[in-house]
Amino acid sequence: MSPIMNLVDHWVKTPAADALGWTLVHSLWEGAAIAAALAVMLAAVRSARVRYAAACVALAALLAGFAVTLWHLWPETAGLRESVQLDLPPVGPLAPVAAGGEPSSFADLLATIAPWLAPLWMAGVLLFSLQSAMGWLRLSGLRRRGVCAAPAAWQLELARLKAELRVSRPVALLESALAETPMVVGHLKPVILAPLGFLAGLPASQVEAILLHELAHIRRADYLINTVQRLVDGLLFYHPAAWWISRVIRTERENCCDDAVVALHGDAHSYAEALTALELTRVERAWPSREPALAASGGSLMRRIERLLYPKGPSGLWAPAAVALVLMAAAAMAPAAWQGGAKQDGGTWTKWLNEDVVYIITPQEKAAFEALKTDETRQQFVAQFWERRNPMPGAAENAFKKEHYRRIAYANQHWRENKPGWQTDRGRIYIQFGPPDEIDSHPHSDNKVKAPFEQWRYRYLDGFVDAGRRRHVNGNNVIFTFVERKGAWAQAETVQGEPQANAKPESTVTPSATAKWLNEDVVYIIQPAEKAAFESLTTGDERQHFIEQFWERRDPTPGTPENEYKEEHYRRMAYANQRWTASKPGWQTDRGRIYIQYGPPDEIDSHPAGSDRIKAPYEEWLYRHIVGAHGTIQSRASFSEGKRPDTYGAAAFTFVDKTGTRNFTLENTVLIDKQGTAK
Amino acid sequence: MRGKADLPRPTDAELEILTVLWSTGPATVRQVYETIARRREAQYSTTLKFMQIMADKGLLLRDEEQRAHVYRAARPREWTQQQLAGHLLERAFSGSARALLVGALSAKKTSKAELAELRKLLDEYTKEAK
Repeated sequence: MSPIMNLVDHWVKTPAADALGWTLVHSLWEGAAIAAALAVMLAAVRSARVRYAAACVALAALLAGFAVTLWHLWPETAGLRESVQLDLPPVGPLAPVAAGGEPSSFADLLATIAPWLAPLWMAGVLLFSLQSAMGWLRLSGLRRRGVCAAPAAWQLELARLKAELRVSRPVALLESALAETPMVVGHLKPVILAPLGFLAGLPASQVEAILLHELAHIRRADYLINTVQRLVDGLLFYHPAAWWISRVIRTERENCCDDAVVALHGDAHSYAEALTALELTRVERAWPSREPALAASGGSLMRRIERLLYPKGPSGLWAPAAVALVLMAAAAMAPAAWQGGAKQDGGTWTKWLNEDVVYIITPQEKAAFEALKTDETRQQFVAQFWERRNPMPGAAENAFKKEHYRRIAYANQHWRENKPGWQTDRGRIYIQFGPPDEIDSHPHSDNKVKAPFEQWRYRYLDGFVDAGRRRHVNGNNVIFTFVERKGAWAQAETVQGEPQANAKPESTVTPSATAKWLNEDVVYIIQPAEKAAFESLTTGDERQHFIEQFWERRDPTPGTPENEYKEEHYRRMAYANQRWTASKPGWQTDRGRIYIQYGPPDEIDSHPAGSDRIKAPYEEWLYRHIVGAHGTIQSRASFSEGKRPDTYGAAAFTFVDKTGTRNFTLENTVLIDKQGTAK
Repeated sequence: MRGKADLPRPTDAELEILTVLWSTGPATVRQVYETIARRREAQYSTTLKFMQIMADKGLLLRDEEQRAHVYRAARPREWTQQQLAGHLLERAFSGSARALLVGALSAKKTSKAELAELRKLLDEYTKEAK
């Protein structure tokens, strides 16, 4: 592929191209609606000025609709709107289908085409602009090239006509060797170009009428408006409604000027004669032109003259009623038509709650949110919600939030069925837990499972719900199985490394899982004797049993199914990972270790800028009543091994960021035992 | 007499002088100069020089019977239009120029048949009015 094609292909995949493509698609129905409204208006109204204004408004509305749609769909502004909606276009982005290559519906077809519309549109606009620019240059040149001043008598006449029509701008009247027909060029210093032979070749009264027509154009700033109109035409070059509306504008513009002439002179017939005579001179001059002449009937000049000679009266009472009806219908339709885009305010929050964060919000948070009444408090809640989950608070980006929405978009892209990707089981698991460590895909059934299925393995999970809707605190080596039945993928069974009532231990405890359990999960709480015992075990069953017993020993309520100690331990690990992950995972940092071993401190004294005592950022943690850890802590004192937990008095830990890289290392420990002696 | 193909394309200044002559008909240098001066600053001597050069090129024909020479355009204005319209770039973008045009008539010409119909329409109207 050539470099340009590569560039285009690359750009087409960006969300910007997608937004632009969808804007173009939406502009089609927006334009149709606007054109329909204009058509009704035109049927009801006779006055050329009102019709002209209505058509101009219609074209402006088309352009405005385009701009608003584009702004709404644009990727960055979606984020600016407080991210309380999923920033996805109304129909999903490029959606590769799970099986087979054909788009499964019209919506999918549109989704595939949409991004490609953008570069096509830009190419069209570019061509159109080039052509318009050249045309404009040529037209401007006409006021300088091949021109000479009109005879003085006509200059005086022009001044008189200007006064009649109340045109204040200075207007020059020039004869032109290159102009075929009288025309106006320029806005600030307009020039009327009279073709050679026009001023002398027609009766004076007819020449006056034509000059009045040109002056009317000048008074109404038509040259400028027409130039702007042409620019808009360029942007909407593809849109049939825009072509029609533009034509209406041009027709009504001429009608307005015709009316101005007749209003001043009162004689429509002689003016019609003047136009016809002018056209005759142009045709008879055999001007070299490649343009085909208009058809025998229905041409614009014919229509203009008919309108002048046989004006139609006002349309009666039904006309204003019809217009009012159309306006009301448009006003009612507009909010409904925006369903895919903007939402009502109440819907925004509901959507955030029930779609964006449904899988990650805790029941307490949800209850708290539902209790809020005002948008302001809700906004605050949302901000705090994300901040709580921000792995690096104070950083410019919230990596958790970014990753969360990335997962939602990914899910929508890959697992759409008759419902959006995020609602499917695979989407849910993906959003909650991220990409699995391994995917075992079986697109055709195998002996055990009689349908296409997939197995996702996560080596370590922090809290999940299995197919039986049971909530688990954590799991090692969790395997989710998804089976396809009747076109839908559903979560079938969930298997995890931790022993539960109906788990299958043989299949899950692998050597790597064991090593992780030993060296990560329990490294701070396992006693050396326990560790040695564990390492001496050889079979998966034995190790499984050991792990069960390990947690059993620490369960504060042995009779109940929940192990509060284990839950709290994994909660602390997760918290440490969330709060202090920098160059290494949070649980490996000093603060993480102390937190996992002793839990949340009673007081934290934070000095982000250091102090007189310590010249670097540091934190001091105070525990008023610390319970000795089962493992070892690095301090001047050490606990005896194998003893039941000792109880100490207070402990204070000082963490210092010596290198300035937000790596806080434990620099000082003070333990005060029951007797009050510091160690 | 030179053939049509041989005449050079007029420059802007030459075109202006030709335009004056097409507008007013055969004229002396003084008359041409005065017309030009109505629109912009001009020098009589410059105008004279240009017109003499144009006569040498064949763009103008000079009648030397009177004391003040009378000049006229060698070709009618339609010829120049043809010449200029023959320029490829001009032709390519003439359509776009039409789109920007604001004037008494639309850019497209009416056919002879329609003109005849218009004539009939106007005549009928006149008859009815009487």
